[in-house]
Amino acid sequence: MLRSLLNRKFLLMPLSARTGVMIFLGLIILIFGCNKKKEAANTVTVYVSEDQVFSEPVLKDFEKETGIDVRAVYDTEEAKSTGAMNRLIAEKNNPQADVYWANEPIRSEVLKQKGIAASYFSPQAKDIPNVFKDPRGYWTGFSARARVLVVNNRVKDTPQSILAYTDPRWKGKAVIANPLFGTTTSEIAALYTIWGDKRAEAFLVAMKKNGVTLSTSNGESADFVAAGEKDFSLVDSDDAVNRMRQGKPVTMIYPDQQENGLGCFIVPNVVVLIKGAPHLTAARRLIDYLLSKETERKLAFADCAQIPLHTAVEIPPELKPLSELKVMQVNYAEVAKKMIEIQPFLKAWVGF
Amino acid sequence: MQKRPFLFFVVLLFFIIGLLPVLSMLLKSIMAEGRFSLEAYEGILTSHRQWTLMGHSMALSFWVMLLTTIVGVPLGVLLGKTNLPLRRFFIFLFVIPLLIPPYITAVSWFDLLGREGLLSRLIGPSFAGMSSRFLFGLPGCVAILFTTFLPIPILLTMVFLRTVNPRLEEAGKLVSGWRGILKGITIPLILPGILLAAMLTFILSFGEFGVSNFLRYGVFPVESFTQFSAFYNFKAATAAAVPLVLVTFVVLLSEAGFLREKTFRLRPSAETEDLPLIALGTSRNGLFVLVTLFGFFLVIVPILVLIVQSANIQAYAEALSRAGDSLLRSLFYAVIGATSLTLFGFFSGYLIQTKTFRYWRAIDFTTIFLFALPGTVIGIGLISLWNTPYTNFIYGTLWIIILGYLAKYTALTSRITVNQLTQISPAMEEAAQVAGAGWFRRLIFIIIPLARRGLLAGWIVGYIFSLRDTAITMLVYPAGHDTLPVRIFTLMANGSAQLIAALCVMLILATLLPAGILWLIANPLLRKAKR
Amino acid sequence: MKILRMNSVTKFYEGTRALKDLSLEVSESERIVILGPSGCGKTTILRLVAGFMAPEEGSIFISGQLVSQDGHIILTPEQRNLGMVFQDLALWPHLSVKGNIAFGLKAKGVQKQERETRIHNILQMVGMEGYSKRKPDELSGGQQQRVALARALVLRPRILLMDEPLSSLDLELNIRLREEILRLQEELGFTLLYVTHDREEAFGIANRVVILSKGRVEFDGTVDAARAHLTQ
Repeated sequence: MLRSLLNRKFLLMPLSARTGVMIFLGLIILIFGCNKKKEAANTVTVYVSEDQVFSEPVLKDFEKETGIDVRAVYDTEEAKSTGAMNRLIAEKNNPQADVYWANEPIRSEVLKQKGIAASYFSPQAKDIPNVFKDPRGYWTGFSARARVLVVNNRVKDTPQSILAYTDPRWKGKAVIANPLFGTTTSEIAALYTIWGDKRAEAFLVAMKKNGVTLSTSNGESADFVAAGEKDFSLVDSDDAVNRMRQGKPVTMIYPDQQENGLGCFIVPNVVVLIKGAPHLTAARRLIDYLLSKETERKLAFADCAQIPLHTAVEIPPELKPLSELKVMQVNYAEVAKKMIEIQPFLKAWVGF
Repeated sequence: MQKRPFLFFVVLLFFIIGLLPVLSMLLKSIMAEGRFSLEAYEGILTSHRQWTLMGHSMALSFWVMLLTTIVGVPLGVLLGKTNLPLRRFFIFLFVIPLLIPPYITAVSWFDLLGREGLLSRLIGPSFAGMSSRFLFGLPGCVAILFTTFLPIPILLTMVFLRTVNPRLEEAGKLVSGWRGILKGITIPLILPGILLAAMLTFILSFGEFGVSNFLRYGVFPVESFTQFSAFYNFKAATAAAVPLVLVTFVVLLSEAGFLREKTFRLRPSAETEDLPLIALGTSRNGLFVLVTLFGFFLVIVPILVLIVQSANIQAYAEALSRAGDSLLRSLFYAVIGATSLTLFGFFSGYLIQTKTFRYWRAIDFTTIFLFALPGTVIGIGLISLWNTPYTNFIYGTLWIIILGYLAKYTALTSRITVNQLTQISPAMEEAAQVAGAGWFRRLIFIIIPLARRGLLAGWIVGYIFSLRDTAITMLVYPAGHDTLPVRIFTLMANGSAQLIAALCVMLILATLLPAGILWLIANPLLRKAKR
Repeated sequence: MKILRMNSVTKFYEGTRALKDLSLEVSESERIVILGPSGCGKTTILRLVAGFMAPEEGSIFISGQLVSQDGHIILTPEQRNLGMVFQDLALWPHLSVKGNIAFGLKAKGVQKQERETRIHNILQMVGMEGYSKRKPDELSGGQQQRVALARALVLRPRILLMDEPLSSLDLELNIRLREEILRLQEELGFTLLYVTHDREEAFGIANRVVILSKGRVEFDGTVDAARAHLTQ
């Protein structure tokens, strides 16, 4: 049947039609060929919430060093760093990903509670402080951002605490990113767990009374301060370091470092093994790689300027090592729980 | 009878690809734990914020529609009906913004007018503060969508001008000048075309999310995207999408009822050569300068800004190393998308044109409805349908992206086919039929060769729209399958302005170069072969 | 046996009744011309016979075989073995003269050698040998007519359907082509079903004239009788 078709009709076709058919067949073979080859090879699928600009080079290095093919889904800024997590939730019964690289621990707590994370104790994580690890191995932290104050250089007598937001001295001169999204939400939830609901809410109300400006992101907050439109803002350390490296007139201040102070809120990156991961061995290798000192060193020197959690990792001059910082002592699981609780209050506060 | 079963299969396939995802999404949204529930909708409808967003969406679409019509119709007349110099070049120029993802235009304006933009470096930060406020909000969104959708009224005005019988105008010429003819005869005759263009720009602006998202102007599609992407809340996302579906549906229905009858009566005439042109006389030079300036600021400046912004080798080297693979993927997927779109569009256009099924109107309406539907809605629908362990051969591969292209853009290739087929006498196929040829033979040896220019045009349009798609691809792409527009979107978070600009330039080149070269090479060949 | 039989055929077209309870019988090798003003339903008859449409009521037989009945097409056009010359000729512009003529032969699976002979013969018959490589738009109006005829006749159809094929030609050419059609019919012996609104053309070709008016047969008879009927 096929042969007679080939013999008669196919050869009777004009040349152009024959080439057309050949190209079409070639294309189909190519497509399926490609798919098969990739499927068979050594691959690992990772969903990434850390900015692609910073995370991708690390993953590329992993590919180069191990020969394992990395396939990634990255979050957009607009999805406010939660798109990948939610995709993992949607795919709970049909897992596509092996590893989740979150840019903060709260989301991984959510995954753990929803039964999407799997337990894995990486040998690389031994000397990472316990506060940055899930005790049952469902997530492990590495390279961290600190929540810092970015202050314009023309300001004398700089603010040293986040309480400056409620200080009449700074009335109308401070800006903060929308607390419904990103690390700002986490920090406020952390304050709730330390201060209790009453004090935290009072703080937010006072902050509003003090004429704080809301921006859409930490980056925009830092731009406001760099342009001199506002005096200071609570942002991520990478936002501050970035503006400093660009030569903008700003300084970075780690808040609440005084004796008995609250400490500075630390937001580590977090890596999670996904339950039902299709490529388990490769997934573990990737996790080990991400938790290594070498990765932490790279992320410290990259534009994201993240603070290593391992001891004795080389860091750039703008950063302080973790050992010299007073760190806010929080339980990230509690923070995660708190974060959901306070949503209604925050929405009302923002004025949605 | 091979024809009807085959075409029925195509219709069935299109139903599965395009309509089923949307239906599945709607169905899932009204079910809570196996029981009927409207909970998700109550949340959306009772929220004050939703109504604000709807107001924003309406305002944005209305202004874009109004401005594009006011500017686009005269431009269309000028380019389609006068002796203005370099008309073909201008048409090409004004169409460019439609061919690239609108958010790229937004990036370029941001590079020009933003707080850190080129103008702020030239003029000073106080101006930049002002221009940045202008950009981030309704005026900025309107301006960018205006440049994007301006080609629609221009092109439709030109197409409809061709359908006007020249005799009617010549009759008017005996008693009046061109001004009177345009006002009294031509414009009233092409009014359906103008309304069609207005409706299209309204719907497309309504469904566009990239620009509003980038410029942080809260509109409805962004809400739907955020509900989905940020919270993966299927029900809330669907509920937020329903008003979009409804508005699209209502606008299209009114078009079908009101305009369709009128627009169908106007068929493009075959001989377009003897179209009477308006001699502009003394105002010719003045108008030429005006159109040149307008085109310069609207199209050339944004591209120049991107080129200036990205003008160093390092930026391009980084762009290539960062996104070289997604560039290749983009080209590859666009080729597959264009080819499938051409095939699908051909068959659906054929069955619409020949009225093979009694419900051909419904098929036509469905393709246009899906085209008008915001991409985010289609994306969410596709995921809701295919995200199961049994369908990973689609969900986990590039096919989910291709299905998205097919669902959204078949209307374009289908309409192009219909247009092409109306120009081919039905006797061409009938003659082959009497000669004893079965349907496939008639298709391959008679209809496809006769329609080849339409197929080429369809392929190019399919290529461009597959390549520029952002909304659907961003939602559905499996790990490691991101395309260049998506990669740009994800790199925008903290990526340097130079890098982003370089990527945008690469995307513009990848869109325009292959399409342009193909048109320039293949079109004269086909034309010659026809002689 | 009648080569064509239409039994009380009724056909609606765009909401109105184009043919009303029409019956017609055609014998082998007859030259029937259906004459009538535009809109009287004469083209509808051709399209029914060709199989592009089915009658809502009634039945049609070709060579004794039922081809359509009560809204159903039983034999599709490609299965009916007919020839047709269209009003606008419908020569395929992308194919050469030879390609146009060869198309139907290929569709019917005629082997290459026989194909070549038949194409050669038919081109000779219509006086178009030497033009086989030309494209249709490189031919004059009369030449295009001849190619269209050749394309229809090369398949040796039982019936040749012609839909006002000469209406666009000037009188002189019109008369010359009429004569050629008569000559070809004599040589090949096919049945001719010819539709026109032009009396002289009709009388010049027919050996039987059917006058159609508002979807009904008003007259059916010889040329002379038709002449008499019309001068009444």
